[in-house]
Amino acid sequence: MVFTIASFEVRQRLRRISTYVYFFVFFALSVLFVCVAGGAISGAAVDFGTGGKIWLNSPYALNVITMYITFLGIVVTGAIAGQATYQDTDSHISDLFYTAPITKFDYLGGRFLGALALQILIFSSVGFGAYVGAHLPWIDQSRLGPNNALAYLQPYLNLVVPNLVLTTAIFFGLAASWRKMIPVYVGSVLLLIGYFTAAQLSTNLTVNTVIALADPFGASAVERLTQYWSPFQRNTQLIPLGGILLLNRLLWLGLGVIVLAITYLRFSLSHPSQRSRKPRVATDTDEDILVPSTRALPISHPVFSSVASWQQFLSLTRIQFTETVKNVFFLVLVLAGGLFAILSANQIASPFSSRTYPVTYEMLEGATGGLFVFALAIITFYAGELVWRERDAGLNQIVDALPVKRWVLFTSKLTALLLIQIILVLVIMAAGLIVQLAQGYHRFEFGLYFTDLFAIRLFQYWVICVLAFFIHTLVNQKYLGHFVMVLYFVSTLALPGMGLQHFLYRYGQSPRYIYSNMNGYGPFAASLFWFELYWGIAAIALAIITNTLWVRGTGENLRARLQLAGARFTRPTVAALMVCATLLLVVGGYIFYNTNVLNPYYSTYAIDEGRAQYEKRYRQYKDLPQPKITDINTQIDLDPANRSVDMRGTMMLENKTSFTIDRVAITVLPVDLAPVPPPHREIQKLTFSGGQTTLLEDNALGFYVYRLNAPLLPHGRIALDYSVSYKNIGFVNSTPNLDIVKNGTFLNDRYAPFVGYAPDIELTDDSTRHKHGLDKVKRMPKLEDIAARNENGISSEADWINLESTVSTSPDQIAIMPGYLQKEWLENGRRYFHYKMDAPILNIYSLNSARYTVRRDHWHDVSLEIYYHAGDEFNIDHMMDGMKASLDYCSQNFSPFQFHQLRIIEFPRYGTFAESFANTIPFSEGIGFITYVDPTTVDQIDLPFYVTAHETAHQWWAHQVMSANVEGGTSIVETLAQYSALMVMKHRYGPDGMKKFMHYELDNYLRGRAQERNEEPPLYRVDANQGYIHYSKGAMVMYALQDYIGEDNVNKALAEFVKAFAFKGPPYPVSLDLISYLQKYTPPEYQYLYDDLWRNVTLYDNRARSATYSQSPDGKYKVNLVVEAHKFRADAKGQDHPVPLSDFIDIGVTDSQGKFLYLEKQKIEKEQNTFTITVDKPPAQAGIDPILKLIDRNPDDNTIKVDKQ
Amino acid sequence: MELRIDKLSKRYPNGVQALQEVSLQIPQGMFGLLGPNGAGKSTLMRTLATLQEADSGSVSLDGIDVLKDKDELRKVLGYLPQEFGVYPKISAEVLLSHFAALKGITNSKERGEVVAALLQQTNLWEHRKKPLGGFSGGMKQRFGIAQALLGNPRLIIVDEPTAGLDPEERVRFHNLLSAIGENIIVILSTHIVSDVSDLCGQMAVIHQGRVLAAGEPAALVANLQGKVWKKAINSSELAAHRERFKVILIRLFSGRTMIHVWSEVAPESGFEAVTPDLEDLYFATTRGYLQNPVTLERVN
Repeated sequence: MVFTIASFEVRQRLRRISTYVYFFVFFALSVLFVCVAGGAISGAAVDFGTGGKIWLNSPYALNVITMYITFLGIVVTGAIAGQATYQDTDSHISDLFYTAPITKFDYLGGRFLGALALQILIFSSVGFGAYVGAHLPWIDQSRLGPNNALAYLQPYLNLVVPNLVLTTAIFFGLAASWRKMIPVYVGSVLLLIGYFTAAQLSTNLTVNTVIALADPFGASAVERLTQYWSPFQRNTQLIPLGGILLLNRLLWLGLGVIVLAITYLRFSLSHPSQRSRKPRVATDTDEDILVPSTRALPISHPVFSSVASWQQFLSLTRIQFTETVKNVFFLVLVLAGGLFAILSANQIASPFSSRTYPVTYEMLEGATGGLFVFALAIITFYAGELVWRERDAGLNQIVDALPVKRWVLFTSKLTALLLIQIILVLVIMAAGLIVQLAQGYHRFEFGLYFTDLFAIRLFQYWVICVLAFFIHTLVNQKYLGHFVMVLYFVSTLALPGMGLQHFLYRYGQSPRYIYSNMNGYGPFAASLFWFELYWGIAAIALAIITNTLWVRGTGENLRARLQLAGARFTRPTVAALMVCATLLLVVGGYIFYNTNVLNPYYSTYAIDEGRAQYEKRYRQYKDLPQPKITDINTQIDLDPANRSVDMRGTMMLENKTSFTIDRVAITVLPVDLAPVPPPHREIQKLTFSGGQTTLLEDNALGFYVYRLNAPLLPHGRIALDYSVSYKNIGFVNSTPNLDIVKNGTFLNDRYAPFVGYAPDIELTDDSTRHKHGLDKVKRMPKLEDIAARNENGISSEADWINLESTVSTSPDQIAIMPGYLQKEWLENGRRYFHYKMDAPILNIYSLNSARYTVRRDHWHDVSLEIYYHAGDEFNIDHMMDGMKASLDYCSQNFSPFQFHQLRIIEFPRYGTFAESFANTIPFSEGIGFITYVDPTTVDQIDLPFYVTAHETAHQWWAHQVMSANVEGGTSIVETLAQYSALMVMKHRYGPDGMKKFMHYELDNYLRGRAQERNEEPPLYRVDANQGYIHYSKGAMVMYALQDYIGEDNVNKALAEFVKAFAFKGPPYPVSLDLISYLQKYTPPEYQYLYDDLWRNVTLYDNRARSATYSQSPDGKYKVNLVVEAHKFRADAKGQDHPVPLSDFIDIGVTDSQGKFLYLEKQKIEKEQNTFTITVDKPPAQAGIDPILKLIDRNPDDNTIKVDKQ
Repeated sequence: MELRIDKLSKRYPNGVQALQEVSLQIPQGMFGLLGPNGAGKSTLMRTLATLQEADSGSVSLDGIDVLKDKDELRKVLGYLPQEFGVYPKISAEVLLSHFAALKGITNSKERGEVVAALLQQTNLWEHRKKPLGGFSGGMKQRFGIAQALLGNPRLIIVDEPTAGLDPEERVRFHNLLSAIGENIIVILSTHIVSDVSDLCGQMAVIHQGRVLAAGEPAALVANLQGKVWKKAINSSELAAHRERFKVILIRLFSGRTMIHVWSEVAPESGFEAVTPDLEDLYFATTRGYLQNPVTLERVN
């Protein structure tokens, strides 16, 4: 009987169009996903963690694709599973089933199985779509591996089917128990959003066992199983149903079964009124029926004026609003949304799990993000409910025949929904305030709350409300209307990825903006305003149209309704529409003028294409002998209010080659070709002393080649006079230029003309390059390339330069450039600063200008200054501290500090980094300045302190010793800066406190290598953009090294290294040089370390197998520890090959407080090892490499609890 | 074959006593249950149809304990509820076939035959492939009776089946019911008096949860002989008459108001004797003018 019922369900559903619509939509989504990931659609890119080296049909990628798309299907599950029983209540057919000779088990079981089977059929479309998508002709074939049917099937077995059982059980149970669909809607929204938010919140945490088990859909468990898999493994290995994944599946399947059991027990095949508590309608007494009333009814005088209509509008709005809001489920949705808003605002930010102060803009961003999907759900759902309210209640024929104006009926509902948005916006504010209060932060900035929420956010919601009403009115079928709205939301995500990025046609969308305390809404304000105005007018027009389409009466088909709508276009309506259309054209025209005429409009594809063109045409000039810059004397006039800058100056160039140079190439930051378009550029002068003729002038790409009238002999010098100005006019469609802003300008040397071909304009991603017809990215010159050592890694145009600059800005701002301030004065309403360096520096420099507050201090004879935005003084002390500690350490151990000043300068949070220029460290508002450092907790890293120490160390590692521009160069500059900062930390927190830090770095490295799109080289050949190697792996390598050979020895080596190379010109040092100095101070038994740590990619898989202890008669404790060690070397593809062991590895025992009772290096030569260790106190944990000095594939099994024997 | 209802009581959570010690013995054939809205008819019907629990009492059908052994009863039950719907997008034939399967007619050939026969019998054969959403009220009712007849039930419960049908459909429905068969109990619950008088060999009057009268319609009506009187009055005189007499019913006739009153003896002049009919019985019973509830023994 179960089968009879189930098969009936499936057969009936197979006859419905909706089933095929669902199938097709998910099929299409899957195909689309694969196409975009496979680079088939130009201008579109999507990664979703599948990475460039992962095959599209690999087990890993298929897993991701299937997971993501079926996740979207939760809404469909809700509909189908809920309808499985609700359809009987809805059709009033329940009694006919309940009186049939079937059991509760037959009924529930059959309906459940039917719903489940149907969904498995529907969601099989994702697998088919992935297959079809991967085999379309326009897919890049290199993205595919061999076909493995199991790889397609496995996500279903592991994830989809168990997840469907769980979600179907939940929604099935909700609908069967409550006999209403509302719990199902609310449930599916909560589930979707809750899961989404939880996923967001946990991206910063390593997936540990708890998260892996707690994730009901198994994604985290899969992530945990595969998080350290190399690309090779992800391509070839099927994801096993074992370990944590199996546990997770059993746990959640079990829960699903429990839900079904509860549903079964609660359900009864009986009439609903059995359990109803509604008061029965009182029966009339006979008197009322018999006696015809002889009293006359009072006479009323109906009024039909526009004032009356207005009053009706007001009262109807109030009714619609209270009816919607009084509902229990609305409250649940709002509360849940508020909860997620609070959680999101409270989000633990990385790195090192550092929190920030709950400043208002963070609260706004967090809470708005947390509530966002709830808001969309509420808008969509309640628009439908409002439009359908009378029809659902069966009241529509009565209401529609009343003498109420149509606009009153429509507008009152729309207004009710608009009022609800105010509630949502207030919830966001409440969430932010709650988090701020909870953390004791009182700078509420209500002005900002109101502006952001009411002027921007509320407006955006309102525009979407109008769209929701339009769709629900046009589509005239509630579920289909919801579905179309969901498609709209999907399109807002999908369209930009497909290259359709202009906001003039993306309904309701406006550019993303970043609010900065320093600069307010800055350059975003203009585009926000105009686009909101534009869509606001469009929304009004849409509302007018919706009014003509409004359903009144029982007319059904679309054609009849369209005819009726046509008849409803009265003169006032047409006039209003004309006004809207005109305004729309005007505003749209103005926008278009700004975004496309005044400023060229480029899609991402077009920008990339420009960069590709630059490379294709001009890379031939890369090896042209060019003179190098030796001196720069520049005058920069900055106009912050108008966001423009004029740069003039003279560069002295010297021919340091052995060739005669007759041609010089110059690149001026190409107009609109960087990812963020630089402003309008005008070159007034590019003149060489002695004259030149122009050989090539490409203004669009910013590349010029001149023939010198007087060829430059070797050692010859020539002056280049230049004058360039940059302006920002109007506003743009995408992100505006954020370097030149009203408060917080941060320019760098790249705004000045660049001598030669500029390689960093080239595209770095292989997939993108392929799309634009380029070969794979060219790696840095090899270590063996001796000629390449003549260029340093920072600048190919210069070695060390003398810099002198005169900067002017508005009188209320301070402008800072590298150099010592010679003079400061006011002239012509502008403020002038004259800076000069007293010694040569690298050819990188910055210009910062803002209204700063200054904190001054000193270290020995070095003046320390921090320029910050008033209000961001939370961590100034920590930064000062960091500077001093790092200056102390580096000058004691490496070499004297070469400057007499060191300055930290705050810049707006548009970029979240810190950078070290000569005696100048710009530091982002978004890191360090608002980080919250808890003075009470010990294991939290003081982020501002750390970053400052790192950047200060760069004054040695970069500004004294600069590496050559070959592979492995950053292992000098970045790795040694990491090392220095690590040592500063070690001296402050002690070695025991470093474990968490090292674990973080190890994690970063392992994840980075799992996402490596190209090849992973060993440290000594690291490429400049492989941060996970030179930062994270480098940190581990150096920390291990100083642990093995001693910190003093490392420092001696480094001091000699500095002495050999500081301030010297070419040939610049390479990683091999650094290694030779380090090796000099390494004893013979540790020489093997350089092969392991530097010259190869080495990984371990160390494990503590068992640990027991017994108490010996003399009161000491004997620990018996069994450990396993495995060592691997990885090849370029990420495949690991085992290698024999002959290593010194820490063996340690700790007490219950975590202090080491025993920590010694032991020589490990075989895989299984047993140790007997005697300690004084009761042991708690024991293991191999407990502080994680070595790179371990699986760091969590290194130590184990010690059990009593 | 007999359906025995013994002191059935039911009280809803909001305090309404829907059934008060209802006792009936229902033989095979058409049994009419007459009473006003809210009298407890539907509650009784649903309880008999295994859809609702009773607080106390017992019901048995030839040895099947109806209240406790629901599964057994459903095997021989056919139920046409007062309000029911259908899946709008499915055809009559397909849905009827599904219900046939649920009723245990698992053999597909047999099922096809039964379904075809029933559709013919209810005059739905030419509409069998059309979606049920497009059926008129009468057609839907006929579908309802068709599904109730599936599986050769021994007890058929029809709850207010003719409310909302036009006169022609009503006649058609009556013909259907009377042709159903002999060895079956059909309980017809209605507030339309002529349904009972046209169709039923046995009846009961139920009001406010109690059985006020039970037996053969003709015999029950005969009890009223000589006690019902009629008079034509003006609407303004109505209130006065109501105070002085036991008014059974009021009708409008040619613009004037016609009343029937209950009186053991002839009331004042102006009143004419009337041959009582079932309607008089119904109103007199429900108004409580019959002091002793008349329950005639089953004549057998």
